[in-house]
Amino acid sequence: MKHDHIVQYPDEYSHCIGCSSCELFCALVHDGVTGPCHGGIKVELGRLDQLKHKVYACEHCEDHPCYEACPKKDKAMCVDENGIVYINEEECIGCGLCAKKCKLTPSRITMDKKNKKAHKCDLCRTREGGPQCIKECPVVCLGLASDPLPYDPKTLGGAK
Amino acid sequence: MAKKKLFDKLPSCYAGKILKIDLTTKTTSIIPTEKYAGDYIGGRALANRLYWDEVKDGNVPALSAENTLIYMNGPMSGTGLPYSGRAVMTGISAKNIPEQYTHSSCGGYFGTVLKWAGYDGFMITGKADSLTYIVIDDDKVSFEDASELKGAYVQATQEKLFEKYGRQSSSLVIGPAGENCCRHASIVTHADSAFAKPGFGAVWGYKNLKAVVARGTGTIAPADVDAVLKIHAWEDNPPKGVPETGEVLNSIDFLEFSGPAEPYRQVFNACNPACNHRCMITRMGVKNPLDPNGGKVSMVGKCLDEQICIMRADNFFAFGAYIDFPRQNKPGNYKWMFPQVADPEDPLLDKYTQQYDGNLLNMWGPDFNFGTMINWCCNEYGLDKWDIGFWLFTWIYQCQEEGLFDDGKVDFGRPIDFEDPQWAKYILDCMVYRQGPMGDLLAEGVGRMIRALGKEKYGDTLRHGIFTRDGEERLTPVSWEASWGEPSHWQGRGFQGCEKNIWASMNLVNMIGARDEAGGGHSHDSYENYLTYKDDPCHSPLLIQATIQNNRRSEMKDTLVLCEYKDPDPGRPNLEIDFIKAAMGVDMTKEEIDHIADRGKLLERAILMRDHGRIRDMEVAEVYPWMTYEDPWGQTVTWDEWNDFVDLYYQAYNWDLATGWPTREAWEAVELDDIAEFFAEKGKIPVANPNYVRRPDPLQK
Repeated sequence: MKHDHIVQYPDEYSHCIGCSSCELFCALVHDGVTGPCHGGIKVELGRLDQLKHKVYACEHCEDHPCYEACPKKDKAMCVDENGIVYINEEECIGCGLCAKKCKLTPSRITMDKKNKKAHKCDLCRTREGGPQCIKECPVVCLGLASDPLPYDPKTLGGAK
Repeated sequence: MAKKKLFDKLPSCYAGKILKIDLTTKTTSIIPTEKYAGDYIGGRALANRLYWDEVKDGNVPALSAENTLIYMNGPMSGTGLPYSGRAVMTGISAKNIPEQYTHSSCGGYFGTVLKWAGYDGFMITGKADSLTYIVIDDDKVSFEDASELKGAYVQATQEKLFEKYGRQSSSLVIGPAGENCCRHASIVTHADSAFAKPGFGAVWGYKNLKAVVARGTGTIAPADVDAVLKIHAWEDNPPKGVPETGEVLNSIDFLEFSGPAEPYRQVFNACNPACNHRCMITRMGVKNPLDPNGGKVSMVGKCLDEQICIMRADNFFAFGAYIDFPRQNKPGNYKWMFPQVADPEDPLLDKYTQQYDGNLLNMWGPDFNFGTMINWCCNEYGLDKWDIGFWLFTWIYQCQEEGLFDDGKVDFGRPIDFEDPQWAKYILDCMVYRQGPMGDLLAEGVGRMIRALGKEKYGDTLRHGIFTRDGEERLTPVSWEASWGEPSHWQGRGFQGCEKNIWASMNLVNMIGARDEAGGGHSHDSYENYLTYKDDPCHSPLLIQATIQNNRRSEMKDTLVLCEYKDPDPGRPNLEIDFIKAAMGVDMTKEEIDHIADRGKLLERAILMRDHGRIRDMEVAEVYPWMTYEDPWGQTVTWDEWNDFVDLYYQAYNWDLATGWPTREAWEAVELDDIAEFFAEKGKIPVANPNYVRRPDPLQK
């Protein structure tokens, strides 16, 4: 079982345009910067002749191996009452064990080796209005796993 | 105006360094961005100053080791501000006739990634001894053997570089057109964003530079994250959501346009990181015309693909007045760009909104395969779509219609067939690979090819059978070259038959530079002003002011660097002020921004004067002939009328009427005192000449 998490809607529902707004604004609202070593959601640009892009974010696994691997468990890597796995960056020492233990590929933990910090999706647990990435996506291709799709993709036509 | 110091410390939206690369010696050095950013901000204005300082003699061939190309980001790239990920490239154009300093802008992710690697831009000079690509990997810069990429298509090159450096890297690459020094060659990055028009791809090819790859681990920080969030939210208007999104989620059935088209899906595209403008310019599931197995690809287009292939698919080469179209959030040239907000009782409404279909060459029918072949070949070979679509193929068509090929002296090596996509590919193969009887001529570019064949016959012969809106026959040359070896773009003839006030303004912009001002420089003004000068635009100080404002917006669009689809935006008159404040944390007034725009513009003029002998007679004579052909309303300019217009423009900028050279006061007004001194030493600071006599019309016999 997984807790709620960010999902990329099926392409038939909405096509990710690869703008990376989710990635950039995640980093901006959490760290005030943009950069590949910041933020908890990542866009992998697809082949340029296909333009089918993938969005990756932590799935907040119930067994959360990242949490289990953290040498400063409950101080650096924490789990809140809603099952959201988050990083207290002040305590994080950037050892990278969480990133290595993530069972998803690619790892959903972003390592900032320069500043010895790890970053991951915390579902914007302390931000009013919920996850910023969903808010910023211009084509509604991101949502919460717990939310049903606003429309049935089958009724939308999609690629013929 | 006193020179304003924009900041004490370089804002964190800059990476801080400009990389100077010498391909001959395979060495690099660093120029601190801080040296220039305070006075020139970034992008084109900064590149102009850098070029002036670093290139002491730019009077060199485009295809030479000495030609220096500068790539510059603006302060906005990587900040999260929408449509701000663009960058500019400047240097000597391989396509311009004559070759001269010009600029190009390009979207994509490369600029942002380059900033994460620590650089705001780079300049390249020299020539590698064999095909090379450069890797900028944070502080490490390496020169790599590109022999395994030799001849590779654009996207195959990009994919190979992705495989090697990861998908968080980004690259600028050339295709076979660039490698073979075709003067229409582009430098391409993500999803068909390209530096295309100046033929800089040919310059890279000459320099044996196949690609530049960037990969970085650094950060960029806007001054005010909340302001960036607000601007991003503002741009999301009309609000995102299923009504708009759902609309494009449906496949477009092209049967409604023409013939048995194979349906595909049309979706939004983002050229730049964080862009939420939602341009509807990606076609998915298109049959790859270069794949014999019929594989499907996604094809991004811009003007050519979206507006013509998709929106006006059956009217690709409309020779009449093509009046613009409304677009979500799209700033307009005039009120007629917004027919949805125009007064329905307005007696001129029909004029704003009516589209004149003109002469029809349905390049896309019956199955769109011909146009798709052109688009995809341009993408993969690395060719400028505008020149190929709007100039090369229209030229062949019109020459054929006028019987100019009947004598067999021009032999493409294969019969012309506008219904056969393989013929389109054949022509482009000849151009790109310099093969067939016309290969080398085609590779030299349409303008040079026509001159080699004989311009009087193959360029200036008038095309018959095209009519004005009033039903009068309108004669336009078979070649749509307007000026400086560039095809017409909003210059009143050819594809975009706009009104005289627009084309006069656009020709003026072309005249003082070396190319069109893309997008942001399209002619904008208020409807009220338009009404005052529509009957005599060339004597209107108001239109001059509008033209100058368009100059400035174009300069700032390429300095910050923003997207021509959004800036200027009548819906957000303080766009530049807001963006500068959000990214840089600097308060600037409109006047201060215009001041820097003027400084950038004058720097370009300084380079054109220093390196290319720019002077009034040269530029006036360059653009004038195109305007002597009738526009769709039957309008032209006379020599005196055009010169009156030029006089007004020069006077507004305080330039000398006889030479078009800025006066000392004009240089000093934008704090370019050192440049005034330079030209004083060269004897190019004009003095008032009350006896100035206008040159007679060179076309009068």
